[in-house]
Amino acid sequence: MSPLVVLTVLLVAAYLGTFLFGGRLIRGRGLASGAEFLVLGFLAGPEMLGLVGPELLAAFRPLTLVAIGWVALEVGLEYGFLGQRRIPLGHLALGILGGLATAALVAAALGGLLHWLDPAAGPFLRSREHLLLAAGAGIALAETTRHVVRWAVERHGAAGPLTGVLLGVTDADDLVPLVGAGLLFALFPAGPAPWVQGPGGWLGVTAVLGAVLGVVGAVLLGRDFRSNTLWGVLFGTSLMAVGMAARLDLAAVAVAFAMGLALALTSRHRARIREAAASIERPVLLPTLLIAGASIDLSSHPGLPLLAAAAIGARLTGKWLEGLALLAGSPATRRAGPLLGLGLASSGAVSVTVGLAFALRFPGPIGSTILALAAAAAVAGEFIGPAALRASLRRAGELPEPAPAEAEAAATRP
Amino acid sequence: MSAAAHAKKGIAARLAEAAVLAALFALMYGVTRLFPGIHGGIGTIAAVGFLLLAGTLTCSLLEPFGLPHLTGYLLAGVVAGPHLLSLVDHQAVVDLTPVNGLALSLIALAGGAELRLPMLRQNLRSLSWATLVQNSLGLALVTAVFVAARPLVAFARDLPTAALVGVALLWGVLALTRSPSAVMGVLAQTRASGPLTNFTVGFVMTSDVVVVVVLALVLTLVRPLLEPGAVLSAAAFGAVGHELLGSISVGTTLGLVLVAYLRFVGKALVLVFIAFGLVLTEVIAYLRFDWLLVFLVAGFVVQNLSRQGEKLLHAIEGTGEVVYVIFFATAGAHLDVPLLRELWPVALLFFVARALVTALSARLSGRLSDDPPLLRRWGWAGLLSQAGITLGIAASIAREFPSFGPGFGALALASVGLAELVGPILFKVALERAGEARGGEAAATDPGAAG
Repeated sequence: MSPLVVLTVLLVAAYLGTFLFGGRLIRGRGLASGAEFLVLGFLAGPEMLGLVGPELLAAFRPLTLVAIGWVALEVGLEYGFLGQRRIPLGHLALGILGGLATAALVAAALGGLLHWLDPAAGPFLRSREHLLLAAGAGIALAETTRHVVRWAVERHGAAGPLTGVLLGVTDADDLVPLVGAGLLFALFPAGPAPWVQGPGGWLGVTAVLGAVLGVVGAVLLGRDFRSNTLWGVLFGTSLMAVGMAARLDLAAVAVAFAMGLALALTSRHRARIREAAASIERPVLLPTLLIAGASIDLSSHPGLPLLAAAAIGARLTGKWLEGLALLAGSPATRRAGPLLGLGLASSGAVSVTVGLAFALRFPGPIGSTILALAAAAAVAGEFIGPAALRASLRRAGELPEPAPAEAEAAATRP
Repeated sequence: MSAAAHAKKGIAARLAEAAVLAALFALMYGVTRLFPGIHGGIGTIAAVGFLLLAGTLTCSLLEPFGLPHLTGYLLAGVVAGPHLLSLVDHQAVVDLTPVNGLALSLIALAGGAELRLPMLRQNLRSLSWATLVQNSLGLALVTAVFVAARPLVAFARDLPTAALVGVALLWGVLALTRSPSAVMGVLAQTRASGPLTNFTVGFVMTSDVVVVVVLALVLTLVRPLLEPGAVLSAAAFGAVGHELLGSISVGTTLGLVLVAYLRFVGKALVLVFIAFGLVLTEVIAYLRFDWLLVFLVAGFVVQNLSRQGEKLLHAIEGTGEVVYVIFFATAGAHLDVPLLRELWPVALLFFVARALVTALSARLSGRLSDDPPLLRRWGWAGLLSQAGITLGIAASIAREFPSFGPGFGALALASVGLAELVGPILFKVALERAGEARGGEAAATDPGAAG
């Protein structure tokens, strides 16, 4: 396939994304994780039909970087808020701790398995490759996609205290993969710089670069809102953030996330900025998922099936435990039952984006394996998460029992 | 930004902008020097972002001097470009070609949509005379100046007289090219309207067709003068006929498709524009049509054969200044400063000659068509800018005639550099003196957005 055709396909995907996000008639079509686009990309990629080859994927690398940066920027702009309302600190903490616990469980499971598969590499998680793979997959699989709860609200009319808690928690845990990517990338910088000391220094550069560009954006947008300046400033700052991060071999997703946070905190036009950025979230996301799917390399690691099973198992365990912690810590969730955590099994945009960031930064077995694991978790989560979430919400009385006809239709729908 | 928006900005705001600009330059400088080896288009990402921000800030800082935004974008590009600070390297400038194509296609679409039939009918007499006089007198006089300046032009000094006349005629054709992007850029900023605006838009947008025809005619005539053994052949006209008719047909079809889309769907227009600009331009170029003309015609069709014209213009305006910043900042980065430094006396001579000939032709055509005094006085000012079209034609001439091509191309680059820098300023001054500039930023400012 020529680059032109691929570009056309990506634009069509972006176009579809616009309607999936904004069109009333077909609002809510598709899966919360976007796994169908991931699978479509995989089918078109070198592993299956070969319509998109590795050279084309390499040619689209800059565009892919920009796209994952935009996804992270959008998360940063919205982080800590549900619309105009702040997420309570308790929910933020629960989400972050839950994400960290899941990341640690996944990393430990993968570390153990890697040690078992390749004992010659040295003690547990001591080799650079094992540490990067296990920790990278851990953070990539830590989140629950925000869309799964949002769509339960929009599509099924879920409402109530449990829904509120879950909305906050699923928003909050996005911090773990994005900041975690910043930390892991900082362990492997582009080269020595006289004024940066160690990983901590590079992590500082990641945060400062994002924050500075966020503040620059806020200064440029100024006091009075000018719609014709907005896109120039948003594109300019986000492209600089992503481009500089790529040049320094830092995590573009972490820099863009920090930039989004700083911009939202310092600009008086944050609502307008969020609205504008969100308007192109889906048009950016769907082509990104296609590219991510096409980039999956099944031969990236000889033990990939085992690794995937271990990662997904550990993730489900982590989410189940997170659910138990929610039951213990939040009175609003008590009626949801012990399987509440499985309702958080859906991963999606952020997870795959971070996986793709690793694949771009660490081309070869490590990056490809992390991406494959993130994709596998997104697909697996789609079979468990939405149904378990609906069941929990029903048990909590926040989602009405479906009428028989609706139940039949719902059974055929994810 | 308009005078209104400008007036609102105090010294503190200006200082903050200057500090941010300096910080961005320092940041980019530090990073590009510390980690220079970046390949595979990654360097382009930060370059585009930087040009967008630096262009926006520079134009804002130059506002108190009354300079057009385009000048700010150009200056930012020149300073950051590969010939000065090299914050944007050669590869990034090359990588940005498709983005430039996208920007130019949007500009052409907007330019076509600005050509309203009633306005054209009203200006038909002026436009007809101006087209005739500007092109015939311009070609003749600029050719004569080139021949007279022979001792100053290194690559023409030793040419035999016949060949010299041939090269001079080709230079004359270059002088006939205008810059739709510069005109649209200044108009987007000033939101000007009135007779001078209408005349300039009409003339500049239609000049693309005229130049294509004149170039074919001149190429046919000069080939025997420049290539020993070559005979007079009208084959070039077949190609031009194919290019023009094909472009008009494709443009009309595209326009009708756009009308249907605007009428029945009307959403996600930016994505549709991107598809047109990135994908369709490649297809059109592959078919050997003039994609600038295609988009002009498409815009014209939408404006004049449907009620969707304003919707289209509004959607293009919705892309904000991004299109212009990228296009002109990249053009600035493209500007070969060392070459301009080397060739500036000759380039200046040709630029002044072209300006004088344009002004003289405007006077004459204005008299012949009995134009109002305003048009006679300022009608020439919008016709001086040159940019991408000129460089494209110069590059194709350089390829066609390798014996003098490199020198010809270099002189064209230097000359266009001057026209690019001075033309928009003159046009903005003319619009302001004519009382047609209104200042757009005030209209785009949403006072209710505070907080």
